[in-house]
Amino acid sequence: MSSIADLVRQRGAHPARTVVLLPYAQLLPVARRLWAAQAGDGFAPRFETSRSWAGAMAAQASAQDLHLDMGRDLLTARDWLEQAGLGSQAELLAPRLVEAAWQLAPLAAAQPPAQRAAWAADAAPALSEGASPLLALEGALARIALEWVAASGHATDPLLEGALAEGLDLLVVLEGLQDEPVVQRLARDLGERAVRLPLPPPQPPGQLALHECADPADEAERAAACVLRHIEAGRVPVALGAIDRVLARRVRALLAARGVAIRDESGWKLSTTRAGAHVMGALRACAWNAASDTVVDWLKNTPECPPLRVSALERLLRREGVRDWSAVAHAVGSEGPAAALVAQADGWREAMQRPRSLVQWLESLAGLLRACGRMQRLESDAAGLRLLDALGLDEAGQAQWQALPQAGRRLGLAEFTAWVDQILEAATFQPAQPPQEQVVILPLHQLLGREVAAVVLAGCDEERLAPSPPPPGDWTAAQRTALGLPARELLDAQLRAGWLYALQAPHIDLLWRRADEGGEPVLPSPLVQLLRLERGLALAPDPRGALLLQSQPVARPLPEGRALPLETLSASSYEDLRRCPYRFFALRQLGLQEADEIDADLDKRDFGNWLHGVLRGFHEALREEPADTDRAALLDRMAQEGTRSKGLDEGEFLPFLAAWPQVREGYLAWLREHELGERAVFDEAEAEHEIGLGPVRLVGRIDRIDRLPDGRVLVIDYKTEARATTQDRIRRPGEDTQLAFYAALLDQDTLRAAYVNVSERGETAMLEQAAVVEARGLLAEGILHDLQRIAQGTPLPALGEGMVCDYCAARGLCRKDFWKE
Amino acid sequence: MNPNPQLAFERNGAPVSRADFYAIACDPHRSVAVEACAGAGKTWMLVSRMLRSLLAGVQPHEILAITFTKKAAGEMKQRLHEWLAEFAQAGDAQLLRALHDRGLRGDAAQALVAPLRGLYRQLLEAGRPVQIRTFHSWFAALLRNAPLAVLAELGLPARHELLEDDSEAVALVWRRFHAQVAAQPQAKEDFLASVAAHGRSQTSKALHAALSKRVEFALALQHGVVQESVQPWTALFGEFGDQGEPATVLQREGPVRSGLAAAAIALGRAAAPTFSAKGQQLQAALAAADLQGVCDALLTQKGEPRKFSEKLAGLEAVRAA
Repeated sequence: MSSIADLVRQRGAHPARTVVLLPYAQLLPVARRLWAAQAGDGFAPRFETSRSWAGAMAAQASAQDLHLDMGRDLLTARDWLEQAGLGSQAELLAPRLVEAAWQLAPLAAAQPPAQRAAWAADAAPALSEGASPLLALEGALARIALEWVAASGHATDPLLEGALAEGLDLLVVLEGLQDEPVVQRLARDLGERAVRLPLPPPQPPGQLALHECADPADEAERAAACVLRHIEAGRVPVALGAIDRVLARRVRALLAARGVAIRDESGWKLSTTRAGAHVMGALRACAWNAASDTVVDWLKNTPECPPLRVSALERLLRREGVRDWSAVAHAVGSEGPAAALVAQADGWREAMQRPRSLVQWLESLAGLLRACGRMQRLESDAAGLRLLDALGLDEAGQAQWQALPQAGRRLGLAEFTAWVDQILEAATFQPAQPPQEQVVILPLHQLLGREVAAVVLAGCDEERLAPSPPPPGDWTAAQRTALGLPARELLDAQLRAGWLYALQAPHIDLLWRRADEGGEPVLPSPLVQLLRLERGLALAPDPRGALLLQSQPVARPLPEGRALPLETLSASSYEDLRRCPYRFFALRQLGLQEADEIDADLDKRDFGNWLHGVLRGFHEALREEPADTDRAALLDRMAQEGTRSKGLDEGEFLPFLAAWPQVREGYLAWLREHELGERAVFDEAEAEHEIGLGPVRLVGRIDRIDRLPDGRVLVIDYKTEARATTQDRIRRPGEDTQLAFYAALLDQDTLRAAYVNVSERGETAMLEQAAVVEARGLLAEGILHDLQRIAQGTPLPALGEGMVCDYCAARGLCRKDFWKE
Repeated sequence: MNPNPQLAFERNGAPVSRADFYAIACDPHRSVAVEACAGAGKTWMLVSRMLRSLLAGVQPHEILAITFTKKAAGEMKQRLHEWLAEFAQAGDAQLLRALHDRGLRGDAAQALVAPLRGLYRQLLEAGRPVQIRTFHSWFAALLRNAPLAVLAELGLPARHELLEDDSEAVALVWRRFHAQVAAQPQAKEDFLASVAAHGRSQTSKALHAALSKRVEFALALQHGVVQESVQPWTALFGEFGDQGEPATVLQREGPVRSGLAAAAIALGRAAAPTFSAKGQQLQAALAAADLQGVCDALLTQKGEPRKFSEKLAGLEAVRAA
């Protein structure tokens, strides 16, 4: 500041006719404060950045100009591509063209508007020079970008038009890490009246503390702890360098939980805010081929949809495994609350199908957001407001779009969705700033010239803080030189300089990780290595304090089920009780159930269900057929019928269908034997049975019942599992509850019961439970005894072992893995 | 330790001393292909070659090392970093020894002592590091920088993301694959035949294995050498000599068959009823030349040898089988 004051004095300039240009906007308040502190209340020079100074006299941009606004520039890019005959590839090329144009924009802006065309004509040959025909498309993009920036007005044009500089005594340019082309040009034009103040050489760093962390989580925790220690010691504000946005956000979350006042100058992508996710979720759910998962996810986040109704629909879709939303309407039928919800969603989706102009799309999107109750929420949320502004969904935005000819372009839903996505990816959201911050989060290069008490830099590893990253864009080194884009070496030098200036605070913490999220080793940044090589620094102690915690062992749960009497009991629920009382309590008495995945591949269970249906259809039809009917043909017909009625995809079900001829022959061979040997006659299939037993009703669906010549019935349960598994079932009659339970369902004094194992490999065999009548007696006694004990309040401990626990849905509840043994 | 370390090294098939070997292998002016077993020091040699190249004036970013795993790439990077940091602090004698170990002699070694000490700082100041990458990341970088016209010609998308493992992509293609098979009569017939012969899960396993070797299969197909590229049984299990494929070997008299027959008798005489049952099963399977039956008798369902009691007489016969 004193050198500025000296300059003003030496040149005889009046402070009010002096402008000081700063390298970035966040320095403006700092500079004004410093000037006031030094020079008191008198006239002060104007402190500006190139943008803020020119912005006071904003130029009138024409419709086709580059705007540095993603949404608008993407549309204009399409016009440029069409004019160049590349319209058919616009979807792919438009984002690249915008990127290239944004990179060239500062260079074009440094040319006075009248000279831009000539400048572009001079630079153009460099873009085509020596280019191979393979790079024709890249070359075309570069040329269009150049033409576009040259034909555009730029926000800083008023600076070069002379009006602003008129009557100016002195322009002082405080140089930053990067030269700003337009400012350089202006200083040159002003000649004697402009003075460039170079950066003072960096001072030696302050007190350095180095922290090598195990992984990203450790790094975030330690960085947060460093910040907290500084705050405790009264060293505020602390600057937290956002070298890596994800890491900075993680640290921010840790600090916010401690109530630290944070000013975030780096922010995060709008696409990663809740508001952004809701809008993208809605658009993706409107795609004609949306998956059920996607649509249900959207409905769950839709204020207008009653949560209970959505969960009911979700349960149904999970149970039925309806993967595609297009099949949902058929699955839910036309009655009931689920059907109403589906109709409502389809109404919203229907309105978003036809191609239309961008202006109409924005209206439709706004309409959709209003209809599903989202708009109100967006309007009452900071990120939501930023989103409405970025998309131009508010009234002012809509008016602007209507005035823009390229917004009349017709787009399909997919194109519109991609357009919105690109805007949300490009836009940054900065949360509200506290009046008095303790921590400021900022990019590394914005540390230049800031007054902070301490700096914490996390993410100082070779990947996140690589000294010489490839420069942005597809430009070759030759093109960079010809166009005046900064060379890789220059960018490297700027980064290293920024690093040295960042280290000038009194206290600096540098953190890096030894390994990445996936455990891959990572080295410290060469900048850190160089610092250590030069200064021989040791690692600092862990900034986190140790806490003494009381151990809180988890005991085995011992719930009582007295208050939850069951009215009915099925074979599988009783099986649960036998295997693990706690599982019975959680799944059967509390009724907690695991939800199936909506989008699951067909598996053996689907094959089993299909086969049950096919065999039922076959036997019921066979009864009506003449004795000499072609059984194989009938079974085939039933198989086709089953595949159709279950809506199984023929391709996906093919592996199972491939085994079908073997299964069919094996089954028919067994059936012949069964009919001849046992002289058994099919009676009924998949019939529901129930019977009272003490306080409960036993219920169940029996796969099949045959009648034997002696009048007894034969209860059959089909199994498609490995033969050995079925053999194990009958080995110990006391432990196999299933056949005994089915036997108990029937009002028969004596009967027989067997598993029929239908193997995919072709063999079918009957495995009979010989002692089923005794087993039934034991089972009934057991049930009565167990239920009585539950009614008396005997606790239901978690006793499960092995396989039962491996796949048990209640494992997260019984906390088996955390018991103190 | 190898009692005669000289014998451990060969150059173009001829024995060579350790020192001469490393003088050749680390010489950056030569192209070398080195074959060695795990733990032999290949990483040491490669990183030494990098050191020698850097000392010879090669720019760090002009060196590219490609590994197959992230772990190997990480180790190599780590090793280079450790060496450089260590050499930056080392005395002349240590540096001279390090240079000797890497094949440099006399004045040439002496002249590089100071440059070796300064190499760390030189690299840190150079900006772009030595490129040590996995081949996935290297090819992903090539794809990212590939001209749009080339991508279009190869039928590759202009936007892509690198999958760490392909299970996600495999799950996506699997449904489509079955749908395609169902739609093509010849493919469907082949598929049905495979399931009929080997069962659903074996067919699925074989297809998954083929998919995981898709590049190899596609290349072999391109050159019309699929048949020769898949090793036949006799090449994979050389110890069975010229007995032929397992299914046919049972149909002929020969050492395998008689070995199995001896095992069957040994098992049949065993006291434990389950063992003797297996012996009978084996005998029956041999009589029918039923390969599956033989396997059922001797192997568990997982394909592992059944645990027959140690006390069993003639155990050796069973083991041999």
